[in-house]
Amino acid sequence: MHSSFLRLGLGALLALASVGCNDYLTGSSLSGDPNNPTPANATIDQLFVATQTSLTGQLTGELARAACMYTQQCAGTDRQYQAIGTYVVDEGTFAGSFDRFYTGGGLTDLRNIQQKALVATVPDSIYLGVAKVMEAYMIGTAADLWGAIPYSEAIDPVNHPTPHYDNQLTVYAALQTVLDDAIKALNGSTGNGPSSNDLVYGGSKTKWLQLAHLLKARYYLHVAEANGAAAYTSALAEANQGISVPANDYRSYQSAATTEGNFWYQFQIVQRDSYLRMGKRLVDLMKARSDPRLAAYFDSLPAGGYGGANPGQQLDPASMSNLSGCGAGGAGGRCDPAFRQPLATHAETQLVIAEAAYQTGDAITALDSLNAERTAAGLPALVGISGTALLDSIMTEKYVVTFQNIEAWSDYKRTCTPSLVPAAGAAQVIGRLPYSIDEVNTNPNVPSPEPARNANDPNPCP
Amino acid sequence: MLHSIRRFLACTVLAWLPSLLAAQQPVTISGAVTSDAGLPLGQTEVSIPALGVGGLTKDDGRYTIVIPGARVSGQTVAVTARRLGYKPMTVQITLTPGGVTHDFTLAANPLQLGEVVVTGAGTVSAAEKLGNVRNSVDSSLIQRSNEMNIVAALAGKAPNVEVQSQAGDPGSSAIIRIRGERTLNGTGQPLIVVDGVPLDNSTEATGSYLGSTVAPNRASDLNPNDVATSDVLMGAASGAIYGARAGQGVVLITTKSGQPGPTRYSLRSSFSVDNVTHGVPLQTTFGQGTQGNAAVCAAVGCRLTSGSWGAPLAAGTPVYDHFGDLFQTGYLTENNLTVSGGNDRTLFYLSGEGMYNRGDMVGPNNHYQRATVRMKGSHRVRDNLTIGGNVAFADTRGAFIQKGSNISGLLLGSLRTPPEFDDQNYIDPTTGLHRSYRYPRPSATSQVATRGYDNPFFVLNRDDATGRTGHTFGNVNGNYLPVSWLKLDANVGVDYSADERLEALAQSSSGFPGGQVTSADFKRLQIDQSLVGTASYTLSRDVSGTVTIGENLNSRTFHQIYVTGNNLIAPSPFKLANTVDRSTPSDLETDIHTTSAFGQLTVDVKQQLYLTAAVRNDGSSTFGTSNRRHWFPKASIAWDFTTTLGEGRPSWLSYGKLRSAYGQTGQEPDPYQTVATLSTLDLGDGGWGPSLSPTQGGKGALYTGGVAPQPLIKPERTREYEGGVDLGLFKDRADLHVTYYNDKSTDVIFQVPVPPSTGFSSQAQNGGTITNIGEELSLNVRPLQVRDGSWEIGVQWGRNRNRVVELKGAQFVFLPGGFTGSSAAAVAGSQVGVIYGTDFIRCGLGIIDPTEGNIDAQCGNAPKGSIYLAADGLPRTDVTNRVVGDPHPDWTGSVRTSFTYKKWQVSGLLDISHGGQKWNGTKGALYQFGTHKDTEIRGQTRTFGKDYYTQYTFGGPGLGVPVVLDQNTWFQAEGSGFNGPSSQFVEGAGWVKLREISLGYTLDNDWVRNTLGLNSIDVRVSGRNLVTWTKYTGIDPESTLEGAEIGYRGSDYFNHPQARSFVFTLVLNR
Repeated sequence: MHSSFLRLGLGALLALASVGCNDYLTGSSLSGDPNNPTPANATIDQLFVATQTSLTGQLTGELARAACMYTQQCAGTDRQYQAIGTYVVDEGTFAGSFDRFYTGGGLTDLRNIQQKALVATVPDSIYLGVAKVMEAYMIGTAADLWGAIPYSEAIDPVNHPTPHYDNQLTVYAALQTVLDDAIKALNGSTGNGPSSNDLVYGGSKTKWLQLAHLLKARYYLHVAEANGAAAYTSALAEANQGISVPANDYRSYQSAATTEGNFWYQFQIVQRDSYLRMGKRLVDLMKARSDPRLAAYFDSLPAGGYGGANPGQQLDPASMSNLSGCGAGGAGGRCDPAFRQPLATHAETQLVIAEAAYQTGDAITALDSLNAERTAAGLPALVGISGTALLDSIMTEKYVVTFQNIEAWSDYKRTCTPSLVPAAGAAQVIGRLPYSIDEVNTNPNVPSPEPARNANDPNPCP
Repeated sequence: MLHSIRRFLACTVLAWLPSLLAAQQPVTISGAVTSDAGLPLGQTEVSIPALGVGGLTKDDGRYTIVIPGARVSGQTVAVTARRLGYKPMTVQITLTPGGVTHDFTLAANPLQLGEVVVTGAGTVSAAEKLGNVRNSVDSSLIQRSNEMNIVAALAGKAPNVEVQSQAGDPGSSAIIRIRGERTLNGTGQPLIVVDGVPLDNSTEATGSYLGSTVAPNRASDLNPNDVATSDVLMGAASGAIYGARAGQGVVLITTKSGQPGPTRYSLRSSFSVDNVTHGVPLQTTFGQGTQGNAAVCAAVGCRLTSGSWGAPLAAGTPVYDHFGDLFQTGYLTENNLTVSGGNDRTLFYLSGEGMYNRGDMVGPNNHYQRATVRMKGSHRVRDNLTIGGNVAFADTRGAFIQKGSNISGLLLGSLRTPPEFDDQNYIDPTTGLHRSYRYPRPSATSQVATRGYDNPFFVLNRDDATGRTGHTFGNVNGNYLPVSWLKLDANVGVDYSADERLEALAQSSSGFPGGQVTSADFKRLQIDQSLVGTASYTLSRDVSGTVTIGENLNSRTFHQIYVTGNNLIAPSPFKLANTVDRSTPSDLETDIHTTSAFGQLTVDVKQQLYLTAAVRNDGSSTFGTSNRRHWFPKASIAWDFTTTLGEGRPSWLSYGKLRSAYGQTGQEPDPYQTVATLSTLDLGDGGWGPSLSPTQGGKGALYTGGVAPQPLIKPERTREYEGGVDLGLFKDRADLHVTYYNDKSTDVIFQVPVPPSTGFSSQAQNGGTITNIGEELSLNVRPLQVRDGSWEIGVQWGRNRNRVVELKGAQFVFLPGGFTGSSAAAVAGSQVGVIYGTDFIRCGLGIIDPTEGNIDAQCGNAPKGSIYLAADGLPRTDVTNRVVGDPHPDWTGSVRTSFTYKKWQVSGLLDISHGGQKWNGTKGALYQFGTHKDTEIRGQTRTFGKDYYTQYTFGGPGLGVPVVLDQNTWFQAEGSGFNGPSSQFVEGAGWVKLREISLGYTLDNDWVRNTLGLNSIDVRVSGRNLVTWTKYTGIDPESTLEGAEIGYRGSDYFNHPQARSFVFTLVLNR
């Protein structure tokens, strides 16, 4: 009697527990995440704004500061930046930025945009073109800094959970194809593209086309040291279709709102105000030629004039200039949070034309293009200059124009102009950044040991 | 039938008559209570529950109970004598007029055999039937600790239960860990259950856990004076009854209830005086500057270098104590009033507490207070039906000071200040604005300019960080016995807390010169319902037991809204409406539902062998759809072999029990792991601080989240074997408990990093395996038990060896906590939460360094592990990261003693943590800045291994080469916490702390009783955390930067110091 009661009771309770109780475990805020949108919710416009912001961050953040220090346009003057500035870097130092080229806001979302553009009711060729240009810009920057990188096997976790690293020159070649596709798509006329969601170019087809051509020119230059003179011919052809007027410069969108402020402002003023100052090499160079851009680039010293630091020097506010406007707490100048960073410019295009023309034997066009840029910058035109002196002038002027731009480091590695004295204790200026520790920790296909130089830079500078 | 009723009535009336005649006379019951060893037992409660009268025996063991005449009618009543540590005894006494004498003899019961022990989820057991080790902490130990936070009060009370307070700040959290971490997710802290309902013990930091302020753990809202016992379920073998929430152990708290008898009143007041225990040594020889040149402020608005590498200070230059000047004497007052009582049908317990703690930091913004009330009652409606309720409310408020890696943090700015700068003048007399050593002469227009690092007195006086919480928790319960062998328990409990935070930086703060206001609301609601039926059965004279079946439903909701406003419009108030713009708000909620069913069978054989088997089935909304329900079994055996041996047992062995148990518990995954999501979070800049919101210019943005979804997620599982023995020795003069356990945790969830080039950074996987193996020992000896006094001494010791056996898909996983270069990590082959970072290049490891070449070839005969010295005589940093330290102690233990003599009590508790390391990041930073005392040797010549860093061995071409150690060669290079390896700042952090020492006296003579109308007055003077013995050179080996919101114990980076107190307590009892 007792046992049957027990059995009945047991059975009833268990039945109670299992029937209908699983319903208690499912429901809107239980099975689905109530905090974040799901992929079904994202529109192509929303993805685009995020990728454009991410590109801005990549090109104006720690990678730009690193390129600035390694070309001695800047110098690291406190704590970790003193070490980084003297090439003491490891796999953790730039891991976040490497990862960001691929993960959310990077290549994965650029592919999502391209996918959405193709499957839209009316396929949007403008969006397709714009996304491809941005893809080339991002991956090209990564290839420039790290050399061999995953590309053909990237963003395919199902088939390639541990992507192989493609040779750097192969990546550049693939990007030339991507840019060609982009140009073709932009020249098509279906769809509206990003229009007002594009805070840099406002959705203008013309401007994106010009950027695409400039990028093609850049990437031909990047492989010129390894591939030879033919690259210069291609570069010239593309640069002639590059950015035609300063109004078409690709300048990042920034504003004074706290989360829209220029990364240089945020680093120099808000976060790490003693870590980075201007580099002696650039400051002295510009002082020597009384460059009219001194005040636009740098803050004057307390005692007047301008000064810079060498790699590894501890901060001395009396002798080391900060970025212009930093002394005023980030008002005006390049330290202003609303300063829109020039990332790909007409001035650069003119100098690419100048260099490529010189390298293909057309010194006249080279000098004309150089002088056009110099005049616009407020420098006197050069006369009667030729040969290596002309090339030196072109590259020196480009060194000044590409201040705070990652492109400066590629130009130095390729032309060794201006001459730089490596940081104390190092035989040469550092050639590339170490791979991301997140890749090293998880991907057996990361090249090991780390090469000292990239494939496109076989000869170190003396 | 009527005839018999009449007869019955007649009999009773007649029976009453003589009592009515005698009704006017009171009856006195008196006697003596002695132990079975013949000693008189004072402080024993003798009561008559049915009449609600009773009293305590005095020191000579004598008691007297007077029953008023109106209540006497010649009836027979049950009289119970009860005292902790002895078996209670009940006798029937007839109340005859005049007096009745009855003496009680109580048998000693130090192992508390026969006492009912709560074993969780509505089940109870008798102490001797437990197959697991029992660790029970009673209320007197909790109250004697003088800790306001119930978690901190458990320090040193049970072996392998480690408790560390985050800091001495009022309202700081305490971290509790039982037998080591069994998970990589979460803080590794146990589930806390109060009266059968889980209590939220979460900790939320307002800002980043590396900076911001301390934050209290929510269980600290519980009034420790309400706690009757805390039973700790150490591992899977005992915690299996809680299934998927018990992965890290369970602390079962039972609150005090009313006792049948007279109404008892108790007022406990304490006052304590607090001081900082230990600081950081600073140099006072060299002033602000660099390269030996003093920093000079030429004009208003000058910005000066941050280091103290200037010229030696001229003799007679006033210097300041940049640690000591920040602190003063704090105090704490606590008043607690309890009223409790009842009779055989109704019991009640009321308590109210008010606590105010003014901290030891200078300024008005360092305090914490708590007010709680509790009402608990139960009523026996019918003979077999009892209903009860228990509700507590706590209101806590605090003001906190910024800490840690935070340029508006208190110690970061203060300890970096050069010795000659007077921080106390934090307002510039001319402009009335904030001045700091890096910006000593602010210009009139610098209201919104950074000061470099905030002046600590500005932080203490002008910044605001407050919290206010209302926390309600309680339950309604009932139990019903439909038949004598079946008991049904129903319980519904609720825990609701609403926590409002404000964290504000005034204008001209260093990180946010325009000022910043962060306003956060955290709300948690938990509802827990259970229904348990226990049936007792008896198969024969020798075999009996119980069968229990139960079910449980639980729902937990968390909602957080967090908004940061930037750039104040007006300098005050600190309100979001007074800011120029707001960062993207965080609006986060989680919702978790669980359903469970469990059953347990116990078999008692011949009162010697006790078997238990149980199983729990859990389903949770956090499990993947295909893995919805999971089973957690448990089984244990306890064998009282002394009963089996009977008279054959050795004379020195009074009690012996062998026990062995097996169980499985789990750890729930975090919610929402199965779904893919997009993100709107800000995009950072490699961790350096700058960030951009993806939404720009008013155009909304979304991007793919970095975490790939994991639809197959299931709970983690720990299976444990535990075995041990409990012995009562020398007629219970001593008892010894020894336990061994072996845990293996599988399916441990961690975010497996995946190559970012796939488009994702990580994916949650059940891919880890962790083992915890250890031993526990506890020995209590009562060498002296005489008429007037006694002496008891107890020793506890525990050791846990944790090991991450495997991490499928990764060599290591970063855990929250630590900094780049010395991060918290779980590394295959080491313990969970080791310090992973940079180290010097060492010999014998096969290192080929890019700059130095083949290291081993140059090390010569140096032993493996020696630090390599390059040709210049200085070491170098290795590019490869590795495990450089481990915060886990080798073993922990405590020694407790108490001595009573007549009315005096003396007691003490030593808490010991042996081994373990901490990263002394404060020291590394102060080397860079030149303010640490060790940097006084600048400019002097040293030889590594001979007269510097002699704790290491060295090798390589630079061995024996003397070097000049100065700013450029060493203290801002390899010897710096920023530019050199972090391993050199990892130090041994073992400690021995005198947690309590106290002297008490009980006044219960006639004057107290007759004049004041009180039963007794207890007076006590005690010290809390008075002395710390340690080799650690930092602020305190017990302090943790990250607190209980993270649970990692390896970082010391401008942590706040611990405090010690002198406490005076007065308890009035009636």
